[in-house]
Amino acid sequence: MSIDVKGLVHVYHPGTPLETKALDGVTFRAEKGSWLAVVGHTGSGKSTLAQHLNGLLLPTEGSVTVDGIEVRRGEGSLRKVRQKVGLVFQYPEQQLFEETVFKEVSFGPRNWGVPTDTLNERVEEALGLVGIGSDLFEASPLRLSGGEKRRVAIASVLSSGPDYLVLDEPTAGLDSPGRRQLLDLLSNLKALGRGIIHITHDMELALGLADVILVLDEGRSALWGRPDIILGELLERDVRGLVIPDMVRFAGRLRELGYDVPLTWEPSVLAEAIDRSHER
Amino acid sequence: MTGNCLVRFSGVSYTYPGAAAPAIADIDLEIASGEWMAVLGCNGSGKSTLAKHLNALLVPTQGDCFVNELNTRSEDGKRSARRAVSMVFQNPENQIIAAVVEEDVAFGPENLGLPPEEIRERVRWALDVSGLGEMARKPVYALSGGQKQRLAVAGAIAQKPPCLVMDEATTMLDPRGRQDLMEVLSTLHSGGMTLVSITHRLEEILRCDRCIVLSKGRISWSGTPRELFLLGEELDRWGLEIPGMVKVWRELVKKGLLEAEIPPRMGEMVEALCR
Repeated sequence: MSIDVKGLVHVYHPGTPLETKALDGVTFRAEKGSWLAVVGHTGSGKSTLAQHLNGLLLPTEGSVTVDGIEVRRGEGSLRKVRQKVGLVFQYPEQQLFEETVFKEVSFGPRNWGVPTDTLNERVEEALGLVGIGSDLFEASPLRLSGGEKRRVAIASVLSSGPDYLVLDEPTAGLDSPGRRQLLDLLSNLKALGRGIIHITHDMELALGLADVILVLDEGRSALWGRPDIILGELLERDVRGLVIPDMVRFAGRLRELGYDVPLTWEPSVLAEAIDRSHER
Repeated sequence: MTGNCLVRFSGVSYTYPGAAAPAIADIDLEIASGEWMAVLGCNGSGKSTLAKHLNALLVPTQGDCFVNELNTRSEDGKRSARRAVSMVFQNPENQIIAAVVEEDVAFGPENLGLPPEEIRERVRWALDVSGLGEMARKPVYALSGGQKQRLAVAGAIAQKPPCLVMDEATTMLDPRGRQDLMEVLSTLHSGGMTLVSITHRLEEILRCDRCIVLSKGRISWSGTPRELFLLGEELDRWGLEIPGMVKVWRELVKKGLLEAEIPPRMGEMVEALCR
């Protein structure tokens, strides 16, 4: 079970003076129960790619297939794909509009025609997953804290029961506790078998959490692979907009100086290794 | 290079209409001209509410706020505050008003009544330093989220305000964009501009002169970034996370391998650690 993207090209405003090629032959696979991080500079095509994964945009060339269903018009393909792939936009809390948290999270499945008796169960389950307690079910979503709003917005996507969750910069603007809670939630969803596609600028997050990383550069897939392999590549060559985490750069410099330290983004691991190596 | 008092809060509290508790309470604060100050705190701590008082978008429900010694309750005070202080908000979508990139940047300088040649020069400069030099004629809707954020910054700095407030304005920037913006801010600061950075990202405050921490609407702490990095469990309580490199630094200080002084830039930190 996977999302398969092959040779994906997307051109905005084709045939007009504003024609822009946002994606140019992107190929990768995102699997269920796995965490894929998509990183790249501003304007590299990350958000355009996200919108292809649940059929909000359709390929100019190439293909996107979700569990064997090709994303295209006709034969109910888009409906099926959108049930499988939930998309959480940048600042999703700005799309909250219902009077209560419960109604907000019911909106999606109700539109999918989920019968009332199972609807409540679904909503409660989704809110439980994101850690929103029943004391907030009747609260206005607009009165919640930034982190809570974001989690309610994610619950309102989860309540439709997607197998894959595409999140565009989900931690942007959250403080450190909110960020940690959200990342724990995503790890939990992955453990429950959902596929996580996490679009981010944050290389440290991607290296620390993802199973696979896709690096976009000017709409092309510059790199695709396991975090340790991507890290090795990034140390070898410059990718536009991406900065190697300071700690990894530091560990690299120390290795050049003869210290026996791992290329790590964990502060305590690095400090321990420096201390040990220093003593030797 | 700090000078006279630019902004002064005297016992400022602000309660939003219908809210039970104030969003900020009993704030006494002075920001000197030419100072670079960071306002820190977790979501909901009152950072943005405080910032909105700096250019009189909000007026205190209790206490007084003075910009250039004029009370922002008065019409003169409001006008003075809005001339003196430009703001860049977190979400660029809410602050872009024109259809074309360069027109959006020109909006501020045009409103200042500057001559056309000066406007053109400022627009070019602001777009160049914000990394949008190539995109001047692009329609705004063709920009990505990060490019829109750069545009919002360009629009603010083109007015060359005495004081620039950045409210989580780097959120959507990629790491290189964030580094570029920090360089731009450093240059503006060296040129005498007063800067107020509102952020959760503590790696962005290394160059600030001073930072304050807000917690539940009140100022809980004030000091230099380096003093802040030496604090312990308070940081967790305030929802602040120190940068990874600073954590390494602290661990090595504890082990007696380094001295406690933390360099002001990440790059310098790497160099110092390697020495």
